[in-house]
Amino acid sequence: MSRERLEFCLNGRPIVVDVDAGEMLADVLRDDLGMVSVKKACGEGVCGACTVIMDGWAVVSCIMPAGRAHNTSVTTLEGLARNGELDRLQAAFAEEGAVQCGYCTPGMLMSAKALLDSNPCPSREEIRLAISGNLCRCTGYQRIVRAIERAFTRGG
Amino acid sequence: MAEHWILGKPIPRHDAWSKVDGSIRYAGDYAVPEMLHARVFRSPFPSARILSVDTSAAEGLVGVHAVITGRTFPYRIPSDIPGQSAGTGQTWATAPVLAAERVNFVGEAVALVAADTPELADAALNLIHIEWQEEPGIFDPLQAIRDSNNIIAHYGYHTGDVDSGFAEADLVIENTFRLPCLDHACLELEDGLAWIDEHGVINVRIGTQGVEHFRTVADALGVPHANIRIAGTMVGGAFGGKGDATLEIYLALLASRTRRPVHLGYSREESFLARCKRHPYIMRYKTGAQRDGRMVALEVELIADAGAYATMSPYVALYSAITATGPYVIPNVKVNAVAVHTNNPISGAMRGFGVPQACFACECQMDALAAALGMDPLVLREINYVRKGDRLATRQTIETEPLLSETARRACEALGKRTEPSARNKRVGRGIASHMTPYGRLAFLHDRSSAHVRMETDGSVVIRSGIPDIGGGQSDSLCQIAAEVLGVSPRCVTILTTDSLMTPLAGMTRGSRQVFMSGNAVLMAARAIRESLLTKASEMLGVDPGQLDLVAGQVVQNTEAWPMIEIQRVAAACAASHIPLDHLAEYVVPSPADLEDPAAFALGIFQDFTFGAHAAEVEVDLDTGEVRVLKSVGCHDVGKAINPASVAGQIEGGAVMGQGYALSEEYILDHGYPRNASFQEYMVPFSLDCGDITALLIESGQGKGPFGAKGVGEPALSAVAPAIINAIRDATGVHVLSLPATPARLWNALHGLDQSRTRANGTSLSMEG
Amino acid sequence: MLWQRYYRPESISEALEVLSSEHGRARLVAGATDLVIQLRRGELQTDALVDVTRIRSLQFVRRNGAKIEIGALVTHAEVARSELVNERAPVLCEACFQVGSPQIRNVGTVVGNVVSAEPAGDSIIALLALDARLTIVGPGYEKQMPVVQACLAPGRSIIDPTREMVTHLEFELPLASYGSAYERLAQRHSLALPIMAVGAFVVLDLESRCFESARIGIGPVAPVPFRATAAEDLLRGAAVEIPLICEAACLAGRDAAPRDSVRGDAAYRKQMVQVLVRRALVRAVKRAGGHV
Repeated sequence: MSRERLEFCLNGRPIVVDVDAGEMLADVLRDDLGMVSVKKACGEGVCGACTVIMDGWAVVSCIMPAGRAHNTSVTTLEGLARNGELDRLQAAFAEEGAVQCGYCTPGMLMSAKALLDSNPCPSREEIRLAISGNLCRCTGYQRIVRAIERAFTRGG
Repeated sequence: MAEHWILGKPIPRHDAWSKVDGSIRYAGDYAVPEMLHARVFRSPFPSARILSVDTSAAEGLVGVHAVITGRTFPYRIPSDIPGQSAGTGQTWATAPVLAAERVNFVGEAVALVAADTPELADAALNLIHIEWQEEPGIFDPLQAIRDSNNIIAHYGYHTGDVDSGFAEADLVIENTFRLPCLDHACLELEDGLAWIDEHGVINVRIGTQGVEHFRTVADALGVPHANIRIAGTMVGGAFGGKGDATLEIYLALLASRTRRPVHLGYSREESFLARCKRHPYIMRYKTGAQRDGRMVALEVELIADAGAYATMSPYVALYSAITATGPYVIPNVKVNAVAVHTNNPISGAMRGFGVPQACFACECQMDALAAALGMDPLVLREINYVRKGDRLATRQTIETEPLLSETARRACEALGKRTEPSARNKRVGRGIASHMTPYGRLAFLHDRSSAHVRMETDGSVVIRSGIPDIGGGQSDSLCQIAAEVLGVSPRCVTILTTDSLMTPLAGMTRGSRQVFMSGNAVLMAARAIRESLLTKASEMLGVDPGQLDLVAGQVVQNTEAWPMIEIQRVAAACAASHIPLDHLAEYVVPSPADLEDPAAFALGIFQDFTFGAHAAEVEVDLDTGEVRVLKSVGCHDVGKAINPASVAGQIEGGAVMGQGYALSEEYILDHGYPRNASFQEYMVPFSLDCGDITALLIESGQGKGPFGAKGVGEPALSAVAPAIINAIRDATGVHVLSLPATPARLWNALHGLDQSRTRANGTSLSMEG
Repeated sequence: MLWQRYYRPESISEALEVLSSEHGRARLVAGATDLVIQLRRGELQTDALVDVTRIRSLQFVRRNGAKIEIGALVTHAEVARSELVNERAPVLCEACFQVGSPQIRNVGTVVGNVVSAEPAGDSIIALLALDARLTIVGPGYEKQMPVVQACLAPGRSIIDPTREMVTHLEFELPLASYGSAYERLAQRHSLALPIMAVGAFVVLDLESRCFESARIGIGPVAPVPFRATAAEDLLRGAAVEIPLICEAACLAGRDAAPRDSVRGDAAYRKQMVQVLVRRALVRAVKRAGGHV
């Protein structure tokens, strides 16, 4: 079994990690780098719970070979807060009641963050589209959409 | 009464922060060094005998530490409802932990392995050799019911005389409804970790709906109950699917055998195969009514497909039987409900527990009746709704005012102006459904919940409760209640939960019972402490305690709302005078009778119901059969909303789960073989499939929970699917009788016959979808 | 282990060299969205992955005379937001826009979809209507192949990712008035393969108000990509009018002959072929400047 060396930027910090061949990015993030906010819930890239941001784009990490991350910039939920202060999206999710069981929350926040970084004032339809790859079984999506709206209308 | 100072405010939940910053840990986020990895060997057949089992090759594999089969571990779990501190003795049947002689469904657990790595565990599974003899299985409940040995439970009741009722009726309609198998599809997969600690206690960390399983685990292992600890984590969704004792037993057994920590986590496919399902139902409804809309007779036959083992099925059948009539006064009623064995997957608890199924049939039948009578569906319902003082057909009296008309009207109104169809080939329709959904356990189960509350010497508060939090804000509501009663900011309330050794037992989180039961327990405990505080404060201030209140960290005089002294100082003074500021309370539900008592039904088999309605506006594409839900409104009497954002969240989530039930979800079984055990193929709605949802809360204060609260988790779901199906009927004239109303099914119904309207003589031409 | 070695070549020649040195034991991968699932299910095996996502020369969407060329690394998301493709070949944009989810579209490549040869693959169906061709390079050769010939069976394409690679796909745009559209029916609006999908591309003679030609791709109705040639023949040279379009849709339904599936019975799916062909043709005609 061979190992490979990955170098990439994780949550703003350069890291180097040796990983087993055959691993997915989600496993490396969770097991080797401690980013347990990345959830594995379907193994097929359908539910979006493993969503991370790679070079500005939301991607599913459970079906992404870890080697793909080499020389990229990856953001997980752990990297969203800055200097101990929550991102406006995180605050909005908590305040709007967009978090019930919380399992979809990391993936949702990543998709939302990727959206607002490229589209600062999305329509409701664009918001629904941006999270259309993130399954939620608890909230009915209603408050998640509202939270994202709240985050950018409020500014910050 | 003074307005509440923190109760009833939509404050962010205390658990939201760790969920948005990623610091929260679910069961699968823990790992310990040197832990073993477990796998479950599952039956590939729906019905087969196990002729021989050879595990020698698997056991011989280096790195495999345990291989356990049904032959070596023959324990069978009794089908009881755990979580009741008083054993009820209601043991209907047993189910093996590991199948020994035969398997009864695809995916049934047959053996367990534990190995150094997941790969080795997989390899060990492949080395287990089983000689099978496949046998014919039964997959159709209608076929199963012909053999009385397959009948697990049967409930029936009647009032009046249905035959004479039908004879006198102006109109009689009859329909048969069919509901599919559903999966909970919660996002967090089953996952747990077990280890033996320095006290020799076997600890199991797992996301579960009930820590009371420690008893089942202990009995299975043959160890004292005090030697097992279930340490529950925050659950990533459950909806009834994490209430059975499965992983707990596997993990404890393997940890016990290997003396090493053991981890087990399911894949999504395995979760689909292994987890219990919502009961598929076949429901025959025959309704007789007068021209003026009064229902005079109702005959109902319910057949619930229990799947391979009894587990919860008798109770599910009972719930559906009791709610089968809907919230209506009908003088002549006959209901029969049967739960039957098949070789389909085990049917168990899923949000609503038989009530959504009965509500679907009942409310679609109401609309069919309205169509036959040429009457507005809401008007028809209003003619028949129960009112305070009326009796259900079970003879239970409705003791409070069920706001059926108000919730239905408000839900309808909130749909607003009727949307115009967006194209020539589209039709828009609106539908309504009312529901009565019980909250809290069956009355005779003597339900109870304990909670411990302690105020620290600096005025902050610690709550200990065994309550499992499955995402509905269960633990947060307890914090908000304590904060209200003790006048303490929620930020100063810490709650420790879900630990069978360390927290008082609160019963399971199911049956929409926790706000009711644990809320009342915390209320009792907090009030006892409040009394001590007010007595002390009264001494310190020279003011009558009746004039004092606790608000926002201060003792205030309630007429003036002047802060008079900090609660912190009163707490410190209590401590100095050795006045205890902690209290263990147990809330016990008064239980009038036992199930076997014929009077039980009349005395009230449920403590209470949540009443409400759901309204939907849909657009149907006549060319393709696609249905879009344009507007969805749930209006329910929730009694009192401890946290309105949490309550609304349940209603909104229920609206989408109900939409999935109505339009897209079905766990497809082909002679017992699952065909869509994946998220790609099992059609749970995503964000583009849903529109905006309106949640309307009515707070009558009539609930039996704290501050008059009622349960809402399951009530949020009951009426959604029938409201959508009724809206389809309004749009197209087609009565959909079986779910899901997929595009193909609806299209076939639209184009199958020339007309699908109910004829004047009352015979419905409704087609089975 | 799903694979043992992972390569990241930075040029086409380097990629081919690696493949060659592995003697068929390595496999090309770009987005990997289909591949990982196939490996996990055991439908495919490989010893090594050759990740070509760093080869910058394969990331282009450009006009080349009358052709539009799309590099092998262009994702569904990039095609969906490409102004050029939106303007000239909206059938492909609409198809790409509805694949999977935003996350899948951000990494899955259009070319990768062709190599995966999924009968319900949205971009394949659209590429049929565009009569697109792939350019494939291997050790010492370069060849072109129509997409319609590239898919041999569900999950199997003629391209051998252990030996060769697709560099780009291309399709030609006519001089005359043309328009295209994609119609899709699925059980939900994201992360569902289509129950039925149709891509239509029409060329009109606006003066005579006739179809010069039409191409209609339909899936999933057959193990390999399906062009409704009888319907296309009917339209060629005929007047642009609704009854004719309906007749063509009927012919398409007859010839597509879908079977029963979990997503719908045969009669329903056949009817949906007609509905979607009609809708796609009408929108394509309107985009071409025609009137119906």
